[in-house]
Amino acid sequence: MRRAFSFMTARLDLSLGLTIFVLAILCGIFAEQLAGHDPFRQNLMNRLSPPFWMEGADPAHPLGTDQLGRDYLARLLYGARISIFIGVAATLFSGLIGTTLGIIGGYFGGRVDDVVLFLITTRLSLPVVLVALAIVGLVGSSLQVVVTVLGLLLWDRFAVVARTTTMQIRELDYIDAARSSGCSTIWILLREVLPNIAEHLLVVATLEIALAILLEAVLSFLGLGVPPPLPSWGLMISEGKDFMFFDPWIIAIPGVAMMITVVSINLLGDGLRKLMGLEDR
Amino acid sequence: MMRFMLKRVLLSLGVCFVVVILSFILTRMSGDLATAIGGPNASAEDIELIRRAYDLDKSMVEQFFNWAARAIQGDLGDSFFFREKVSVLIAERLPITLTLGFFGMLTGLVMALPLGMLAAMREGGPMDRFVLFFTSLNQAMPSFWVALILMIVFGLKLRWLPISGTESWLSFVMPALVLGLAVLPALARLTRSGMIRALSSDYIRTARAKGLSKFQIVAKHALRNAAIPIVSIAAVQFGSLLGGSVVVETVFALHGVGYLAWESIGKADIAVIQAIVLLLALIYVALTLFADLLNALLDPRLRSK
Repeated sequence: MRRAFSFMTARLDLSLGLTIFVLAILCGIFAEQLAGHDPFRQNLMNRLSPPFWMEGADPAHPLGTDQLGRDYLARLLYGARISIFIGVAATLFSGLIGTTLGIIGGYFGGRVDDVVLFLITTRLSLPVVLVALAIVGLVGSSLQVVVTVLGLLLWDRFAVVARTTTMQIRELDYIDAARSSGCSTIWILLREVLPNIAEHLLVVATLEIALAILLEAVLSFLGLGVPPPLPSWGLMISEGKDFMFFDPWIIAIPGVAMMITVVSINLLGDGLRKLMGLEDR
Repeated sequence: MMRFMLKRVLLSLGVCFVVVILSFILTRMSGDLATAIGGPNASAEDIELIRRAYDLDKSMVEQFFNWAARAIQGDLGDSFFFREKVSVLIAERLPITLTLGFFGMLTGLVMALPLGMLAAMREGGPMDRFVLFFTSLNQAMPSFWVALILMIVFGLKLRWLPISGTESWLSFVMPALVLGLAVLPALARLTRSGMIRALSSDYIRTARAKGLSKFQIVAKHALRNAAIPIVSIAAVQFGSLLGGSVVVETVFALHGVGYLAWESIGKADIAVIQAIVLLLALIYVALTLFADLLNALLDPRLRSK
């Protein structure tokens, strides 16, 4: 009974999270068409027009306009594209690094594993926000730099999970069978090990996408992320904070959008984990 | 046991060594540092001067060993922007960051422990689901945004708290709350899962059979057993909290080490940047080492290994 119930809530988590996340992706892809405005077009005659639930709202701009008179809905939707792109791209990159290291360490064990563990420990000791800020600050900010930096800093969880799960399966019969039938090590790692730990990695990936989105927002908020005039949610909050005491909605809107996106990704991950019967870490 | 500890200490030392190298490389990643330091208005002679003053005309390896040799003696170089020794700059500002970190951690624990315990009392119950919902919502809010919202509510609308500065202890309330909320999810979830595991174990069943009250069971027996992982995760979280204080200090204009780092990054003040990265990494290494050794000392299963 209890099991059936938790199975049901897991399905609910998964479908709710997936629906919202897919909607957010679609919003990002069709940003211009959905908003009906160009997110970069300024109109200084129509600055800080309030959103629809406030008095004096302009029906042409349902979420109002920002400090330069740009349509806020268009910027919000375009921001979804930037945030999700950075989240997914950084996660793919970090997933590649972390999974490679983790599988190698977990499969070979011994000295090799010691090196991998050492790399993980070293990576964990670096303060992520500060190092990311410093690199972007010194190298210069662009979309590519942000993705690369986040990818280089967020692989630790992939490595930890890939390593422990590989260790659990490396002595199993089918791996032995592959080994004794003369398969090459690379073949075993790619065709036997990787598919069998993939579901664990998928769960990690959802966590990391959410984390990367939040970190990108931090970088952009501190002026060292996505360069303006690109609309990123963190940058929108940063640009809006000078006006927040008069128009609190200007920071509330992008913050809530980010919160909904991140919650949906986490729900998706939780649902996946429960459905696959993976234990709570 | 001794072998485990020795291995753990050696690992930490190795990590320290690599971190020293990394924090050096980190600041040499931009193309020409001297031009970056000089800024757009520097003349060719200025840049040449800067290059000589900062050893930038020497080879990378030479630069590194010069820096590392001095760093070991406690001399982290001079800040070209503040015209001051880096060690002095950091020593001036470290108390603010540590105070903030301490109260942030305290706020986090004060919120997380009761929440985690209440959630664990009835797994899957309404309180449990509320706590899980609250922590996942909390996790989805970046701390700078929470800080701005708190500023609007408590600083502007209610006028209870100052929004910046360090004049009175009231200025630390909001920053500490923001940091506390940042560490809350991890701490609350760990408390919850630790308590659930403890409450379903044999000794709790015995305690129940003896007729102890629910409060006595939770407070005396379960919490004591859930405490080891909580203490060690708290130590680790404290390290990342110091790293994250760059955000909170910038938002609230608190002049701690995090703010100093942010200022220095904007000015390409490499001596300061590499010193702060190194400092925070070393603090983190020390804290995780402490947590692991504590775990090993307190957990009988690890002790026998």
